[in-house]
Amino acid sequence: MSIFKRIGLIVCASAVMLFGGISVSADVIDDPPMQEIFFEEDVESGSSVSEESGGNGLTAFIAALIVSGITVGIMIGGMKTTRPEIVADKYAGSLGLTQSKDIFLYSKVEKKKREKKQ
Amino acid sequence: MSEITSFKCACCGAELKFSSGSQKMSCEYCGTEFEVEAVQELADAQKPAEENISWDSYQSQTLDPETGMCTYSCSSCGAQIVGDQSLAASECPYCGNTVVMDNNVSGMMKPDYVIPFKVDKNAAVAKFKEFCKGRVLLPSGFMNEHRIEKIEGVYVPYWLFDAKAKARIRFRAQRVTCWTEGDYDVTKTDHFMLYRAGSMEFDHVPVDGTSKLEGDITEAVEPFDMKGAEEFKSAYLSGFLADRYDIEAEDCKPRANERIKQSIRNALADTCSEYTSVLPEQENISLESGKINYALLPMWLLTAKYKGKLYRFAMNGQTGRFVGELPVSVGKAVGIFAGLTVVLTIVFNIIFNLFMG
Repeated sequence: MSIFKRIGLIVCASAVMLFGGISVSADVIDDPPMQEIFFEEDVESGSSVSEESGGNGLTAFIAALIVSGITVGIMIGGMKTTRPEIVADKYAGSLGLTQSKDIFLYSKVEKKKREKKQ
Repeated sequence: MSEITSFKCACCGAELKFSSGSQKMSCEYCGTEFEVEAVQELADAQKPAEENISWDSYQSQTLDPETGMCTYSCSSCGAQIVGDQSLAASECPYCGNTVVMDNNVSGMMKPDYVIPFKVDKNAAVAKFKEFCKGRVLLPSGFMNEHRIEKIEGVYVPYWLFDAKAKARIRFRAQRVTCWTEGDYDVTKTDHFMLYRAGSMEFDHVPVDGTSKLEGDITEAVEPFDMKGAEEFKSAYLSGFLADRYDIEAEDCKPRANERIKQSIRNALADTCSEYTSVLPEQENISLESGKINYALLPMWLLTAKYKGKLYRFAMNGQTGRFVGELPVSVGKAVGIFAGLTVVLTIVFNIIFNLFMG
């Protein structure tokens, strides 16, 4: 088995472990109605922290997917250096500006009340 | 016949009327007031711009048949190549098939300029290795010694366009200023109309005259230093191949126009840097004293074969600029993506729990 396939398997396993853990804690929260009462009464309980960390885990995974996708995309893009040239700047002299006129038209002012920090 | 002129509000599009009280043009709908001069300028600018682009037609000269050069044609891709008689058993630099001698160069158009090769074949091989070096996604087997199938020094036909471009562009611009007033965040957006006009000289803008090479390759090896261009002499072709153009100058004009226009457009937009946003609204670009020349420019073409697929690379024979497209190992790409995802998930998770948990 190649090193890359192994890494692929590790990723899948990590994702299963990570989201398996999250879904278990979510099940615990959702299933019995008694648990809901428990949550309402005891906000500082460990299960609540678990729910929050599960949400963070999902966000972290999505962010990681995006960043990894962009990074690999850039690396793949770097394998191709044949691109059309859209300008002819290298063959141009300097710009001789013959007219430069700025006309003010109108202004718009927007006022937005600042939200107070709680 | 009399003509009724109506002026539209630049803010909401409603009709403007002259207000005798403020001596300004006023919009009854949104209440915005404009200076009379600004409204007049705006109305003038709405008139459609006429494009004036003219190029001289190219006057061709034929090559002297006594040069000892011959033309060869490829039965596979149809390329017509010029070279000396020693190239009788040569291969087509584009598709790799054997080329057959056609006749001497009588009737071939004589180029106005040629840029002689400045970098040799060894430099092309070295550049290829350097180009592949450090590419993580390159398949492991690609860099074997015999990967390069063929290296040919080819004079590629280009049309060179000289012109003086004149442009007048109207932009809409905004300047945004923010500040606070007590409990309020205030944002003021000033709207402007900008006029910029100017001219730029363009000298020898190259557009390739061959359909055998993709345009992105022939443009990616640019720039060519035209100061190094010499008057054409057939001696420069000795030991190299020269392709005959198969795209007429007429058909290359739109590409030259496009690049020249974009350059002067960018140059004028750069003079509006003090605004938050600038958008071109109307432009009038004309080209004067357009001249066209025909030139042969030097290029090393490398062909590499990997898993039955041909990969083409090109190096500017004057400056050594190397371009091409390398194969991508899908296994490596997936592995890197997966590995990076695992590492980043852990790192992001730690960060989120520290700062948001």
